[in-house]
Amino acid sequence: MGLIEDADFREFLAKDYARLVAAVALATGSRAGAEDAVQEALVRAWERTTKGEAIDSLGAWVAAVALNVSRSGVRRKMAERRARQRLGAPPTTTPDRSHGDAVDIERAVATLPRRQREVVVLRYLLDLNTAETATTLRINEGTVKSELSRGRAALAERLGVENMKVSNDARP
Amino acid sequence: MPDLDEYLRNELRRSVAPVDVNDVSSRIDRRRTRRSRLRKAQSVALTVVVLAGTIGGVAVLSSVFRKGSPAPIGDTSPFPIVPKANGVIVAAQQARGGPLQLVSMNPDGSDRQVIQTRATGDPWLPAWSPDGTRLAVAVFPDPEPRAIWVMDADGANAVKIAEGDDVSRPSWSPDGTEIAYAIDGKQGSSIHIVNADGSGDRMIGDAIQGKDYFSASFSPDGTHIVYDKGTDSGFGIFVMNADGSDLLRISTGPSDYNPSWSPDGTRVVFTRQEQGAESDIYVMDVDGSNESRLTSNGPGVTNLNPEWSPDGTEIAYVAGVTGGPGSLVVMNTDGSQPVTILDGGVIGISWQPLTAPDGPTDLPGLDIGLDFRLCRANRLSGVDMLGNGTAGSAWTGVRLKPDGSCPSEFEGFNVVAVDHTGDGLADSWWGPMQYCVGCKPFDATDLNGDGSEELVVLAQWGTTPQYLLFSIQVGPGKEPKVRPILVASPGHPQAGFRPGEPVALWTGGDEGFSASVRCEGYPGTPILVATWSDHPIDGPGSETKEVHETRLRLESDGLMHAVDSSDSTRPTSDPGPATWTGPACGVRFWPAF
Repeated sequence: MGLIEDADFREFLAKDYARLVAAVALATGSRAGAEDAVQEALVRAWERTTKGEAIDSLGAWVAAVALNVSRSGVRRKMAERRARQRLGAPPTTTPDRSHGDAVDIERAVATLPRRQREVVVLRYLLDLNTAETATTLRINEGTVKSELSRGRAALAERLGVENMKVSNDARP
Repeated sequence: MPDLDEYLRNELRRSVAPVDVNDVSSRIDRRRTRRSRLRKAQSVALTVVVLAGTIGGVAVLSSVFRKGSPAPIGDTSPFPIVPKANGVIVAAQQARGGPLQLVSMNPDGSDRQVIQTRATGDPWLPAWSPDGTRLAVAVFPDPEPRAIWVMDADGANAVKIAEGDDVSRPSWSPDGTEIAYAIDGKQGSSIHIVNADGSGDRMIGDAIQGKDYFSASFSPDGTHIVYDKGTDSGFGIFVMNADGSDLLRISTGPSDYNPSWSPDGTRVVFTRQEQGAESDIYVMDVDGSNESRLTSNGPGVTNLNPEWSPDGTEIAYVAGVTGGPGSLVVMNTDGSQPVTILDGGVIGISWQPLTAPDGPTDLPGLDIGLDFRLCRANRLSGVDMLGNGTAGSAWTGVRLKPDGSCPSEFEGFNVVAVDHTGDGLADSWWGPMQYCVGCKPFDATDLNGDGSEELVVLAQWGTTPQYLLFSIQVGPGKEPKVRPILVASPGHPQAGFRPGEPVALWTGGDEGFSASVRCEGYPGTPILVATWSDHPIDGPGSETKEVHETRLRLESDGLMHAVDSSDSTRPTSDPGPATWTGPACGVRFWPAF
């Protein structure tokens, strides 16, 4: 039985899909294409598992493939266009959907450099640890820590919460 | 005071929009179905193409190599361990009371041929050279002394290179220049290394008295020698450095002998003397751990002389009776499916290694002369990236982790490496490749008419495969380096050719997308014409599609220039560019899956 038919897969969709789409949207600055990219990644995951190949952490795997798909020039263009057509939304490269106050954090994240955006959302939204984030983005752990530190400071400033306590996110 | 990390975590979670799981599941299922249909259609086309004989097959070198560190003991690796393919098996056989003779046969026993040689005496113990072109044979004349002869694969040009009492089966060094063997002399029993032409014979380590060495074999990387010798309890298997230092017993049984390295140098298959006239084939890690029994044929059956197949997938051995000659049997490396391929009278055997064909290998830790080893490696030979007539090679692969484990293509540091001097070792590499799932060096062709070849790497697997182009860049006073070919300004961003980015060519089709590459002016002044179209598969606007065409020329500045481009909107019914691409500038781009 392929992964697509598995109850586990539906559970994954229910539990993780929305967060993955949000994470990719924030990381790439394009919510329109994020859903398409995550779906593309899930189909690739399905193909992989039907060939008997194991995926240790489906969430991390899908996040990384979706980010790759989103970075890819032609595919990104295709995905954005399709997503916009479905949503009936005008072409845009900024987040085109918001939910109440969340727009502030989205706008703040959108101002970060791409690498910082990716690290921030993988750590804070997908709860990947430093090693998992490094693996997903193919960067070393030191870079993850430094980018997270810079991104956190920038977000604090833009959200006006500079005086909040910084626990230094001591998770490995 | 509130915690900033927790605040950011909560704020970001609030940005997550709820989804309708049923709707998402349904959309993914539709996408999967479309993909599956497309793939089936492409498979049919692929079959036609293959049957037409227009595509060279890529032989897959199957492997059961254990995952783990390829270095058996020690840190150095003078000779790269490279994948090999299986050639013929040569057996010393005495058939129906006739003379002992060398017989070659395919691994399934077919096409038996007698190897005639002028070496005088019975050819007991053959050994193929690492390149599979020569044989070293321990020959037992009557009267003695025994000798080691080296000859061509067909038995011609036989030369005696060593002589003495009880010379053992010879073992070639990985580079084919030296031969190790055991011999009994006035000083006792000892291990010798001699040059393959018979010169430079010298003893390694010390001679021993009262007990004998039975054989000595170079490890596949040439750093160690495994040997067997008499012990107080019977026989034992030992490993030492190739210079004779650091002896270590690795076998645990009272009578273990006939050691043979696995091609990756991580395991040793051997014979264990059981009770009475019974011996069986066992295998263990090179440190003596993880021992397991592969045969169990009972009293009176003496399974002897195991040898690993060059590709690592099988083990050949002699199934004798009460220690005498027997039949040549080939089995899987776990002892399953033993098949007799030569009946009776067999004494010594050797399996011919052949240069592995292009294609993937699972060899853990392929050493191609870089500062790191590759796994998930894929090779393409016959690449001439300097245009000097040298047949070099190109590889893709993943860097082995420091702990010796092999990351997935997805997680790992993917590299492209090139040998442009033709010595089989990489001279430069580039990485990491961002997209490298199912990637491989796809082809090499001259894209600018300067006589040197550019490398085409299949960078992304799927129904819309992506190809990256590489060239060798030679700066003043610098070593040649393989680097991706970048797009020159202004490029054609609408079609994905952005200045400063690697040139990425797409072919094939997906939902609403099709792309192809064709070529003009090849081989003189080639121009690649990349075309792709995109249309929404549902919703508003699905009645039209965008079509982009870019004419690309690789200029002397090493950059790919978009010399002409067009962007148009066409009805969806317009056939647009084909999803199939024929030969383009010497490369057969096609959807690969």
